[in-house]
Amino acid sequence: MPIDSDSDVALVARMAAGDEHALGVLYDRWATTVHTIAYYLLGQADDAEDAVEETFWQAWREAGRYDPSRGAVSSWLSTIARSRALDRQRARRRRAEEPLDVVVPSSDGSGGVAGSRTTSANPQQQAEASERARDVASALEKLPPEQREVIELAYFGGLSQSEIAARTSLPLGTVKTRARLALEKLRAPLAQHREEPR
Amino acid sequence: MSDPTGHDLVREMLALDALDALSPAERAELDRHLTTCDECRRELAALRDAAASIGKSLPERKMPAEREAAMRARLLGRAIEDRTGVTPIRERASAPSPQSAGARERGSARPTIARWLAAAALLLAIGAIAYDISLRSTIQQLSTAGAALRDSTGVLERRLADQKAILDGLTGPGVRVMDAGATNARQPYGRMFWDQPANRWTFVAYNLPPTTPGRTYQLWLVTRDQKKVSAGTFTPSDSGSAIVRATYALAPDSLAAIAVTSEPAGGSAQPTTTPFLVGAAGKSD
Repeated sequence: MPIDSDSDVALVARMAAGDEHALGVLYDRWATTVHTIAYYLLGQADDAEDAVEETFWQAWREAGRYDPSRGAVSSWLSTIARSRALDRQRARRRRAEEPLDVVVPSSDGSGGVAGSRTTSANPQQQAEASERARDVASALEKLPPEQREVIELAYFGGLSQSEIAARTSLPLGTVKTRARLALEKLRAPLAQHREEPR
Repeated sequence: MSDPTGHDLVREMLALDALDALSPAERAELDRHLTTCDECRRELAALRDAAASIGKSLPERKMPAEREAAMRARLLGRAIEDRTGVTPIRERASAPSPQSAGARERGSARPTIARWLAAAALLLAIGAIAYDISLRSTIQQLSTAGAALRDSTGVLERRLADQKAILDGLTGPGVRVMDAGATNARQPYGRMFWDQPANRWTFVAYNLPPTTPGRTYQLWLVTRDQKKVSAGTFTPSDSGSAIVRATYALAPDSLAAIAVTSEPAGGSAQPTTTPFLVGAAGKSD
């Protein structure tokens, strides 16, 4: 039986061997991180929680395919969480013609009554969206604005490089370069504060 | 790195792959290169960690503790079910291995003590495994039952809080009451309770006709300057009754009327049909 001090990699190996207790320990360790990512991409508690459950279930089913040389366990979980959340975001957008800028509050200030189902966001929802937008900006504040834009569209909007190029009217090569420069900047602090292997 | 030109071209794709922003064709091209290039594989792993750090750098948003615990119990329950379904213990216990088949062919007709002991040990092992599974299953059932109980308690607490809020909205000292009678012969009837100090609105209605597919009812607060503020959409129960609650600050003398209209599903920003239920606000006390 795994104990709490097992490394993430050891836990995933135990999961691959069918040890559900390892899944429990991994969940205790990373559920909040996974929920945070899902929440910021979706902005709705129920949707975010569904994405969390789907993430850990996928991790359980695909534990045997995890390859430590492709990144840390937490990165693997974060990638799954983001994919599951983006699936839901896209499905929601298809259903409701929801605008892409999910973390940016609507400029439409009407619709007034909190707690009721109206066609536009109420002030509380708008305030929450503003707060999320500020948090995202803060997380990426070290990046130049033009690089941050590419990262936000890719990471939070789930756009492909072609879609980013079309949306920003930039050549594909510029999109590639900005994405690389941005990730290299984000990578530098990781080299100093590596949390894994645990 | 056998193909320097290809390597340089593909290297530009790594960051976008780490962000999952490549097309399937580009991804396939990159995968082909990665099978032969250790340097790019290492680079991609580092860039994936960098991309993942975006999510990890966001301010934490925790799930409510009871929902987190319930999800944990559900996941472990599903995992146990999945594990036992994928590798049923009966198959492991009964399938003869090639070695045991060979031993059977080589052995004499009479079972030896060693074979009896081996059989007994096998039975004990099967029993132990079955007992272990049974115990795990019991623990899981208890855990799931506990989570379900916590869920039920949460639901009951929320219902109780809702009931109390409704009661407060109907009986508070600052509550104003407005009746909304029918303008047609079917006699729908509504009554609005406006808890002015708390800015709470509670609307109850009876004898409402069922909504038609693709339509919903929408409640409006009509101000003296003819502004129509949506107080929410609703669908009546099978018996034609409905209750709608909303919170909205409005000056005591600024309400002219309440009204209910039929709108497209999801509601409208402004009324698009003539109200079938209208109630004048009267004077504030």
